[in-house]
Amino acid sequence: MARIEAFPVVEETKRRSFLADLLIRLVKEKPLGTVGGIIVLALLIVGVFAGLIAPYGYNDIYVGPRLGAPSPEHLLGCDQLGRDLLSRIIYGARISLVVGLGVSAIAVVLSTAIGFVSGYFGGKIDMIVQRFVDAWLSIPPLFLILTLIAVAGPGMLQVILVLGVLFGIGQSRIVRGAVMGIRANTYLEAATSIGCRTGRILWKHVLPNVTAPIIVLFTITMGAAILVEATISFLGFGIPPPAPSWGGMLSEAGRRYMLMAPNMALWPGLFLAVVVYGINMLGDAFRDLVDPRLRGGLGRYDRAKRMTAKIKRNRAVEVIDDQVKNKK
Amino acid sequence: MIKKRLVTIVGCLIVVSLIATGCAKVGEDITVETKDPEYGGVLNISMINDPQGFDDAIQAHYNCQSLKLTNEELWTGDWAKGRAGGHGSAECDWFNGGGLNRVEHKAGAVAESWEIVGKDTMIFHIREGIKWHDKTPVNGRELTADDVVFSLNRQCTLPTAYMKRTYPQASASMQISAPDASTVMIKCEPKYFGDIITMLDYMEIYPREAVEEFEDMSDWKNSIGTGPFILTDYVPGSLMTFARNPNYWEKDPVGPGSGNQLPYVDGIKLYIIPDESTSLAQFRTGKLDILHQVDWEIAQEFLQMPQLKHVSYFDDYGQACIYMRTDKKDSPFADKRVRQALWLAIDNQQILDDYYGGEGTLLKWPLMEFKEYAGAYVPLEQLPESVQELYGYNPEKAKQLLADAGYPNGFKAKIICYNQRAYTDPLTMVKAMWAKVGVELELEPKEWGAYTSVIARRAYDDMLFGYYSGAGTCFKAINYTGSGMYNGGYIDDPVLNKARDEMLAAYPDEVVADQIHRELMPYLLEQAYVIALPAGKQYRFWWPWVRNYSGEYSMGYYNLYNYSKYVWLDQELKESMFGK
Repeated sequence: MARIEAFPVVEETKRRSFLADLLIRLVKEKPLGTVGGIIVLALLIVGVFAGLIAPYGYNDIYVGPRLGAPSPEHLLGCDQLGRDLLSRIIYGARISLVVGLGVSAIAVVLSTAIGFVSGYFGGKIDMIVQRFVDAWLSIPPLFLILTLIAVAGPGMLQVILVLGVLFGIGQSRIVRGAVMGIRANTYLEAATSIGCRTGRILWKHVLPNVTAPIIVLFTITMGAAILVEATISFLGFGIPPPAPSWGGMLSEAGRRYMLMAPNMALWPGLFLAVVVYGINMLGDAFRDLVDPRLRGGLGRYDRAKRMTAKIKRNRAVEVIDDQVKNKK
Repeated sequence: MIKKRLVTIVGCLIVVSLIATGCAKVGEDITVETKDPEYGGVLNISMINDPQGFDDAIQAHYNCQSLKLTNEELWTGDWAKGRAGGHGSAECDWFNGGGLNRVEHKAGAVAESWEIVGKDTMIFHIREGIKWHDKTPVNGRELTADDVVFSLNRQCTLPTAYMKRTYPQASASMQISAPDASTVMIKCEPKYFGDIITMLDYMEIYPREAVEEFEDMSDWKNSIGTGPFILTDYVPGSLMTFARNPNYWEKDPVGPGSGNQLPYVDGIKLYIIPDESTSLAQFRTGKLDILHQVDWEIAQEFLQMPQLKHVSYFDDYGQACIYMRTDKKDSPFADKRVRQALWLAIDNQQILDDYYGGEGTLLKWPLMEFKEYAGAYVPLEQLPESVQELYGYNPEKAKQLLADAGYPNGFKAKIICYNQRAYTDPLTMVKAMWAKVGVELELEPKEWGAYTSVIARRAYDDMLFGYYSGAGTCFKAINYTGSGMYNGGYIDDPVLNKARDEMLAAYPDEVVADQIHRELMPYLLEQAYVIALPAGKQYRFWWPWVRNYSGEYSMGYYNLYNYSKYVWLDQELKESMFGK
């Protein structure tokens, strides 16, 4: 009886780029994450092309009736200054997008820098940096945000900077942990032993290995940033009027006219919830896809299991074929 | 069959009652009180914020709102010159939140009578038999002229006192003495006489030994006054409880209860409710007796409740206007044509119609239309055409004026404002309107502390949406002369300065001062130093069980709630409407 040993018959697939692979697997394995991805894509398109999509300017007053109900001319109704709510929601998407991306970018750069320094060098540097991070994390975030905004003054740039720094310092712990895990690997020892400079080691060997958690951090921060921006705008400290921040729209005007024109609070609240939900679902899916050790996740581990099963099936088929041939 | 008829009858009754409710007349404004007053009950009212103190030598008087219930000044607004339950002379309405300050409308509080001697001396004769609250260390002793001298001197010397901080020169020139046990004499330089007269209606009198023992009166537990109510409990952020002062001196001056001992109610519960919807719900359910301030939009709901009584009124308390830096030579706002262009580019009528429901006034600065100040005020329709035109809407002329001034493409400007809807909404409309003439306005909303700090220091570069001083100070011209915070536009115009000096020289002859102000208004408005947006009407509602009340809020100069000693409660009516 012929036996085929350790040479599975598996169709060789073309090696895809990391991003393409992630997207394909997202669609195949994560339906909820895909929905989240579609929502994020829609946010991107609406945000970028707000000027073309919106039927009116975001501060065009009295284009419709004050507190007007939804109508064919104003699909989502009008606010207390007769501004078209749909147009303000659309322009609000741009604000959410800019805030989300801006804050995430700053946060990721900052957390990576701090995490690398702290995690790679360790020792006293790590101790000093981490005590600073500890102190930072011990301050109630809302208090910190409101204080910093009160000092810096309201405005989109200020909000992005303050939130970026806030998230960045806090999340540096995650990057530090990932870097510390990699630091123990032998290939880093090998790189050091052959005389690689620290910068090259960080750039060529550490960064590629912490890309996955950084991507996850980025998406998680984006949703959180949009939500926090809405919160501080709701409190009157965020992006100043008449900019149509969804949180600002929900705030005093939305609350005040809740009974007279519930659509004023309903739409920004709904869009805010949907977008943050979408981003969170997408981030969740990314986390599962790139982290095979995650409990309940179906990332590479799942794929490996399926490949093993496929190999076993092929082996079984070959063994049967062999047996059939031998009988003949 | 019977059941069917019954259903039909009940259905008809429901329809009829619904129609009746819908067609019901709204609550009438003023009723003449005919019933004899009843004693007892607790008056439930509310305010938005906690008081920031209980000693107006430590905190500004307008931040110590509850002091008007527990303490007294030398003089105050005269209840009998208001509506007084339909029995007053109705020279005043006392609807305004503050700032009504005419000498002719004053009544004695701690002082029984007074003499104004020339333009630099006032003599107050202290009322006999006024007792302090029965609390240690005063234990209900009689108030003396020495207490008055001590309290006023404290206001003029303590660095924390509003008087000392705001009017340092006037404070320094004030000489207060007690020639005998029941007389207080105040002398000052003639040019500060107007300031002094204003202050006497908000500086509270405290017992000397209590202040010396407690160092100051900031702790509510130390609250001692001669006022109609005694502060018995205070839960910050929630409730202030006041009990009737059994030894209060005042008798009801007019009406069916004339000669009755005041106050009528056993106490007051002053709820602290920052959230508007909560106070509306409290009022709706009868937990508040009076709703002091609501705008036209909220008022629509209550106007549909025929059992409620209401008044609508103008209030200059908290009104804001657009200040521009007129002092900077390189600023566009130094040019009158630019200022007029900006005004012409605002559709004031649209703001009034759409945002204030058509209920309001276009002309609110430097003075609103109050019957108490009718002599100092010129109605819009009587102003020259050149001024009336500014209240119209003419973007084409605005563009032309901007081009003439060297700004054919407009310019960019920043405006600082308070971060609340009442401030940002009107400015949002202005921003949209100015964009049409090329002026790009950027709003810079600030939280209350930062905002008031900007106003106090006049620390801004382009524009400021700041509040102005009310009608009570119109003769002092502080909204458009001098270096005080209310001259937010840094205006320094010789014509205005001269008029101010004339008004101050004429004071306390209010008729002459009024006339000067009246003659000044056309010139002042035509310069467009300040752009004042329209103001909406305010509403005040109260349940019918609040009797002898006609919508009063502050009698005299910033004396919130001091009407409460005159009102009485029809408790049977309240029980019949809401149960016990």
